[in-house]
Amino acid sequence: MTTVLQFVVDALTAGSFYALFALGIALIFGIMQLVNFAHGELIMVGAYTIFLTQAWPWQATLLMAVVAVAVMALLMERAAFRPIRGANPATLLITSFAVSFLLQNVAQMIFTTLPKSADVVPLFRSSVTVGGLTVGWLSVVTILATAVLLVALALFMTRTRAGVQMRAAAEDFEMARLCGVRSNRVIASAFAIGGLLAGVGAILLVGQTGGISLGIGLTPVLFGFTAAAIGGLGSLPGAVVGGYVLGVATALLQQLLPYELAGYRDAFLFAGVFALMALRPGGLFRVAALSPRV
Amino acid sequence: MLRVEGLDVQYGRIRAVRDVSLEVSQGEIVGLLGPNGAGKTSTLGAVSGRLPVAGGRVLLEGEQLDGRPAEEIVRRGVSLVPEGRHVFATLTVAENLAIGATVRKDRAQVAEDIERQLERFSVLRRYYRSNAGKLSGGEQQQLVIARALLSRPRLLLLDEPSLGLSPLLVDLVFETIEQLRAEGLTILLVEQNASRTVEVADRCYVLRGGELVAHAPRGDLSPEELGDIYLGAGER
Amino acid sequence: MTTSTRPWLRAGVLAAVLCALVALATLLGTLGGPRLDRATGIALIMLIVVVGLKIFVGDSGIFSFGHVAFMGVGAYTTAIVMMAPAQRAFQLPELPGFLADLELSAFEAALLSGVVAAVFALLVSLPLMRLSGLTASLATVALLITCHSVLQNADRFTRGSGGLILIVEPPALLTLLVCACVTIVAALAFRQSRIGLRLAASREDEVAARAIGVRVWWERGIAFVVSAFVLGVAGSLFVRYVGSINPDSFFLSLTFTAIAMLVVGGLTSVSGAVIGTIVVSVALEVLRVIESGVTIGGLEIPSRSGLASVGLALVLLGVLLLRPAGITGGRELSELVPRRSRRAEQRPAEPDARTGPPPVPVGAVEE
Repeated sequence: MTTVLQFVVDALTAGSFYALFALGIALIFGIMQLVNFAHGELIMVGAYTIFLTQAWPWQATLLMAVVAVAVMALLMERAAFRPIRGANPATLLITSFAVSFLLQNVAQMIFTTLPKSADVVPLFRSSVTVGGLTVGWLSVVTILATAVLLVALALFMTRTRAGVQMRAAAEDFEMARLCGVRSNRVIASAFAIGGLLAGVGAILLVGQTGGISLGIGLTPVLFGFTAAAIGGLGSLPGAVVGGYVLGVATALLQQLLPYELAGYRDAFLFAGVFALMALRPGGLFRVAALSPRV
Repeated sequence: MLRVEGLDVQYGRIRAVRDVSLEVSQGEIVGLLGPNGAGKTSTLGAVSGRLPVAGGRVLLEGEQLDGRPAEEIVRRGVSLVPEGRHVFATLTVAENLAIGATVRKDRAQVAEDIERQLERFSVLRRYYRSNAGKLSGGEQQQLVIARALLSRPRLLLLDEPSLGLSPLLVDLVFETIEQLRAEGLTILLVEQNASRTVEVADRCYVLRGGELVAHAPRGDLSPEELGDIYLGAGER
Repeated sequence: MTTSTRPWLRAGVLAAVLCALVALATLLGTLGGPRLDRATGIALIMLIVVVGLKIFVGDSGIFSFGHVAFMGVGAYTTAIVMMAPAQRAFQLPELPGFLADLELSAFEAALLSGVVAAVFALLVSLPLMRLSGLTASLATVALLITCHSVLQNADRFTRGSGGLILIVEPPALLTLLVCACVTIVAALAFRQSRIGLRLAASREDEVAARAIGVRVWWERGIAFVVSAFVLGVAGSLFVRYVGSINPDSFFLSLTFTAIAMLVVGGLTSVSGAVIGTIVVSVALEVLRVIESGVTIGGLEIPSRSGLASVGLALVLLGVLLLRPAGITGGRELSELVPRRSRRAEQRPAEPDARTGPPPVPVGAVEE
């Protein structure tokens, strides 16, 4: 029983992480067909902000991290992606790759390649035992924070004018503009929200490992991208479901892979993604209403 | 009201519209006719800001529209209903209508206007909370017209509103157009159903190969002449 | 189909011009001492990589982020089969018996590396070639990560993240130059071949190409395998030249450099691949000098690691924003020289990033 519960907690924690990152990627992709590889560097910016402000009260540190990431996301959109808006997806992808490389190397010039560490919220490292099941506080916080963010995002998307406009733009950008939806505003909002999600992700990630390095965003962005692809790129509910599916898959592989093969976990995952894209390019759960009309 | 002067529209290397000038006055319905590929949709695209204007000018009551993005043009009172029933399929009918009112600031009257459109297109009320993707083609066409009207346009651009609809629904579309004229709306109408268009329109322009080839007031174009226009015979 | 000799003649002249250009650049590179010699050697290998990449990307219109994986496969193959047996027993004690006593010559190893990479590409291409556009590009990202992860974990063959060391006579600059020129000729010949022409047609308009009987997946698959072979050979030369490799050698950084070179030059032409590689290599070398700390006119610039990469990223971004079709505009040099005035008039207008046709003709049709 405990092992099953432990498994559920592990899967949910990992799934929450992936869902957070996948949402940020899917949001931007839905609106401007951009697979934002530089989403990983947003996480990096968040992590180094935590490093720089760790002497502050922890609430201020966390707030600062989220704000810094959101600002960076807006800057990125304004400087690099707005000028080439409407270019084909591969060009956009290459551009995001260049932005990612740029930010990472600017960070290298400032912080060098030596990893840093930060211990923001000591609570994250402690755990709680309930009926024989030991759960880290970080897991609890991750699961809850993600749940809160998901609900908030869902409410925003369905109950506010800006949210409905964003969904309309994601479905048919040109028609949304013809209805008067302001493209600059809706894209900037999407980047701001993506930045917010990346900022929270960065906090949880630093809380988990305590370590900060230039490549800290790479694994999250790859997994986020994978989860978004599982859910059918661009679909927000798909990204969330994809995140949790990926969480269960990683937890399962962790449990089931024999020791010699454990290192191949990521290889299996990405080979799986490769196969998925080849066999079902629209994602694992293609919802008829969500698939693009011709 | 609308003045188009020497309009050129280009797709990459291909010129779709060449030196087209036309005028639409307040309260008029003006038809834009021509065979496939004549440049009708491109003309509407250029007026609505969907396509960039390569040459010439587009003026709405003296104010320059060309060069402005689509989202600004709709704020100046020009609303396009594009061909192909572009509903937001994953949004509900209610949300689609709300998007139509994006440019409005008078919140209270928007609710009233939505109510009026639901009176006009009663089928939309039935599916008010359903996803627009579930509607039939005819219902979607009603939704996109209602949505465009919610921006309270001064000029409505309709692109092939009756395309692919059953005869009954075609009647409904043309009835609606008559109704809108009665309400004082100005309409520029692109239609493949030329005979119906000639009936309803005050004047018609004829495009072929991207150029304006004829301009006729109501009744001036006989069915035979229309046939010629579409078949490409009978140069004027 | 009648084959006129004229296009072939033009391609021949173009090949001669491009090879002369590369030879000249190489010659200039040898004038600056051992450090520059080495940079020149790496640049020549990158030239093979970029031209090899162009064979698939330029003609199919599908952007691949995974090609560096084929280079890695080639490099590891050569490292394993060329290593002296004593070294092998030390570095890879668990290698299966049939590999343990192997000692191939450089030429055999290069050929084998190319073939292994091509076979691998063939297997991958079976599912991959069903895809178009962005989905295909993303699948190649997944491929790159999978390969990286396997290289890191297949300790028996790769010694994991520790990497392998290969101590052999490095290829001479002249050898690299010859290989680069052969690649240029091969890429131009491929473009002129029936398959190359059909593939380019599918890039321009996939639907129309299918309508005239181009199978698309078949042409794409061939281009993919051919370009993987070239990358495999490049990997073989690379490991012999630098002497040590690890999984990170064939990951994002190298992918980025190769993409930057191809995009900066213009990815639909061999001329673009060649010019892009030369320009970016020179720029990178200058940036590396600055990065290591120099004094220019009394102004001391302190050493800052990462500066060269920042510069490269800025160059790429600049090109993407200002001239998305690259320096050559995606055309061959021979097309840039107007021979008849009428021709010149018909030259396509400069594509515009916002309104015109896609600046980089990638993924012509989405699935």
